[in-house]
Amino acid sequence: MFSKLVVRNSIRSHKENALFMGSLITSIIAFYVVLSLSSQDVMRYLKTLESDAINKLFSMIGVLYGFTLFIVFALIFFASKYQIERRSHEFGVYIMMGMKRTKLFLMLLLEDIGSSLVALLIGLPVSVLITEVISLLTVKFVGIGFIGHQVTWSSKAALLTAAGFMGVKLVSFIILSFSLARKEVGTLLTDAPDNVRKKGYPVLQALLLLTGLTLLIYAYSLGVEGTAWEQTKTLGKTVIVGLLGTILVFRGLRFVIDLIAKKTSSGKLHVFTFRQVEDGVIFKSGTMAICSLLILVASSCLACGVATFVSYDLYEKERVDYTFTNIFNGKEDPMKTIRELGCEDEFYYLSYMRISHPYIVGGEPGKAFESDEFAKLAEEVDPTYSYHNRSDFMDGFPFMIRLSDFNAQVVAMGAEPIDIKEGELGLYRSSTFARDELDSKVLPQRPHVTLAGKEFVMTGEARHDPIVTDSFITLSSALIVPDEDFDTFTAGREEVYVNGILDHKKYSKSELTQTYMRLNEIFDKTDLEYESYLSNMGRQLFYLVAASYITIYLALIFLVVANTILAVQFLMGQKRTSRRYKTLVKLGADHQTLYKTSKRQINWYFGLPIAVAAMSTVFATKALFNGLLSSRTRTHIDEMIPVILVVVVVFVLIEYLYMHIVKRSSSRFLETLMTPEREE
Amino acid sequence: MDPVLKIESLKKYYGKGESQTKAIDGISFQVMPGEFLGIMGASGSGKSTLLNCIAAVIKPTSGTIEMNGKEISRLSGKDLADYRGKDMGYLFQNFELIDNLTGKENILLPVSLHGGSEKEGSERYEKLAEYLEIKDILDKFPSQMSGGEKQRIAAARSLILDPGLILCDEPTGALDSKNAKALMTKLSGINQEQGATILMVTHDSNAASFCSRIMFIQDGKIFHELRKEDGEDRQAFYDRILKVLAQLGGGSANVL
Repeated sequence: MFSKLVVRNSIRSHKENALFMGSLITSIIAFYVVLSLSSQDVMRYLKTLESDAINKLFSMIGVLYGFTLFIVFALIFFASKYQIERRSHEFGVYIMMGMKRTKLFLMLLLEDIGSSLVALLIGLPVSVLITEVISLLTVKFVGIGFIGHQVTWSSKAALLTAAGFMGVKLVSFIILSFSLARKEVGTLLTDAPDNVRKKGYPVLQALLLLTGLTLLIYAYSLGVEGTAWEQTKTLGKTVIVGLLGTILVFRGLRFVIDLIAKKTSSGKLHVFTFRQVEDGVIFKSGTMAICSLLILVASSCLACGVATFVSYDLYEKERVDYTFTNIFNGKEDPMKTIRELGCEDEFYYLSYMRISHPYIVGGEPGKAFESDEFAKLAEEVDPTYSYHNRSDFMDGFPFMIRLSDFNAQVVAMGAEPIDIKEGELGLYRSSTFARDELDSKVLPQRPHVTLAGKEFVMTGEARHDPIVTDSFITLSSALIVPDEDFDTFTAGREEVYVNGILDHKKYSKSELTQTYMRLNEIFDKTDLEYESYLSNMGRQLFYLVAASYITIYLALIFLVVANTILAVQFLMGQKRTSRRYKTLVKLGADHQTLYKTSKRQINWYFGLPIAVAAMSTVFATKALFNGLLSSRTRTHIDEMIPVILVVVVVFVLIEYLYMHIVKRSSSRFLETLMTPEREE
Repeated sequence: MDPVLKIESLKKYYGKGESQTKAIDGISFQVMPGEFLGIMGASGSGKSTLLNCIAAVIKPTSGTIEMNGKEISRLSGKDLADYRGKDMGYLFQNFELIDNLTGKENILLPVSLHGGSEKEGSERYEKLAEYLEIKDILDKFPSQMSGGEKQRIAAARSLILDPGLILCDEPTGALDSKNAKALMTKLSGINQEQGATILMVTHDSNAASFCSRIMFIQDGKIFHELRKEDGEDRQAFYDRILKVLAQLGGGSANVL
């Protein structure tokens, strides 16, 4: 008999509460996606390229798992709380009929385990399906489809998912059971008493609202100015002011809702609708503020994650695909070996790149390059130049790049050559060290400098084209020097690299990667020392995947949690105030009318936190873009607009879906109130 | 003159065969405009079932209920909701005020629900507030009102749309005798001065003495009827009610 009751209750509660089941399944997916990260195709591929970094990332999964546990706990706790409150009358009846509390808890525990198992049975296959889709999509997006797809089922991940999920459910069950055990039967049997409504103090609320808005605007200005990122103190201040502002805004919202409620409107139940919304703002302002902040964090994470994902161009247009080590130290010319291997035709461009320092020194000893005029002009633009850039141009011993090598290579890469004549020097800075704002003001003034005792003027635009493949050497800054002067100043001590560029137009993304792998295989058999663009790509891909994966993941989790809390709060509140709806029915309200007011309440209940979050997101994303994204990514912001639009659409869709589910549950609940039986 | 409410051989049976309960077993009566009709009876006599049938909450097994010539068992959807809201005002034992609306907002709720004209609504609202002496509590929430105040707000709400019939369900059940008397005085005033038609179900003989006619129900049937005679004062009518009740509850004919 007892087991029958348990089974019947579990089946009934699944039918009645899609929201509860949905939350459970979401939790399982959240766990599994994190835990199965290591078996994703893109991760398998990265392991072959960047195993150290990947291992570091994997060691972070534990932290992420812990964090997920915490967030999922909040989710399950709220969902279960709603479930138990919904059934409190039923529990009261069981106890009145003589069921012992221990037996009641046993019953609940068995039901809980039952529903967990059902959730796992549905959730795990869904999680596997979702991770598969993510895996396939990522691989397709970054163009490494050739590595072949492997099914990402991971028993360890599944086991840990089940363990984490069951653990979290058990803990929330125990906490909720305790609060249930403390309640008297009488309290269980009657719906929980309503919060008593008192007259408000409009002036105080208006003041709170105003203070909140002021604080928010202050936080926005701090964030957008970009000063927030320079010091932890300012950043902390921005966050705290923002938090406080949001909380105060929600506290003060009663003022606005009260005004709307009092506004005469011909809409049916206008006053009732807004008094209900007002209840939420009065009694749940803290929760609403927290949900709004969660939505803010989610949307900012989502924007940043997607921006990172989109703006990372793994296959930069201008790139050197291969750099073979220099023949400076008496090794054999790699060009010869490449020709012998018959690989010369594989390259669209294959030539030397000569780099050196000015070894013939004129003037002061150790001062091969005198750039006082440059520094003076630079200081007019940026007063801190001397202080911060003492080592600009390597303290008077700069790198030099041979002009003709440079121009031939950049032309092969599809860029414009630099126009340097006799007596002129070009400026090179790698893209990471670019100072375009400064250089674009200084160089047109053609500052006079002295290199190896000879007078030059610096001119042209500062260039950032890649000189070699990735990390062979990094030139923070260098001078582009006419060939004759270069040859004289180096005194024969040159670093000579052989650079190869593939015909990028000939290959698709994945063909290109396959070409790298094929050529690497050939070169690995010889004693050629080389670096290919593939490893650079691996590093890029790693940052891309790690950063965007985690941010998007966190964003979705936050979004789900915030929405679930809002949904549960609303439905719980509606249940608690069911008496009001019953009164309306007695006064002749039909289901359609009740459903309409409920729908409007839901729109407002969700809309308020979303609106505040949306307003903050605009500024937060801007601040985050300024502070976190690299300067190169920032230049792609225009291209990101369509992507951001897609993100907004996805966001709106998720919110719509949630509100739709809540509206449906609410409609079903209202239907149960439609028979206005006379109570004795 | 046509009756406001006309009930003809109304029956409501629950269950089947041997376990059948006849909650109402063939009741017929009429309520004329301006009448103040009381219905009294012991628990289980069928009062609630009768009230639920008139309020169109439950459907009778057979018989008809006509409200101003409209057969209410044929109503559905919007018409039914309109019937409950506009043609009928309902005053409940436990007030049924919505706790997060102020007094004024509670009173105007039917206007908002059934879309009456705002101007008419507010004119009537002013009059009612004045008459029921609730002007001072209009901006208070129910939790800040006394029981008597709550019931007067509820009374104003039931009257706001000027319904054809006001159903009062034990309106004094949750009030002390002083507040009960004040409420009944107001109700009978509205009945006499404005000609409102009232049907009241009550246990309270004191409250019943304000009526112009009383029907006593027992086992689903009309058992007796009392009419206040011209010139009869409330005390005399009250004594007559008590006599009938004594018969109904413990009279020698009923000793088992």
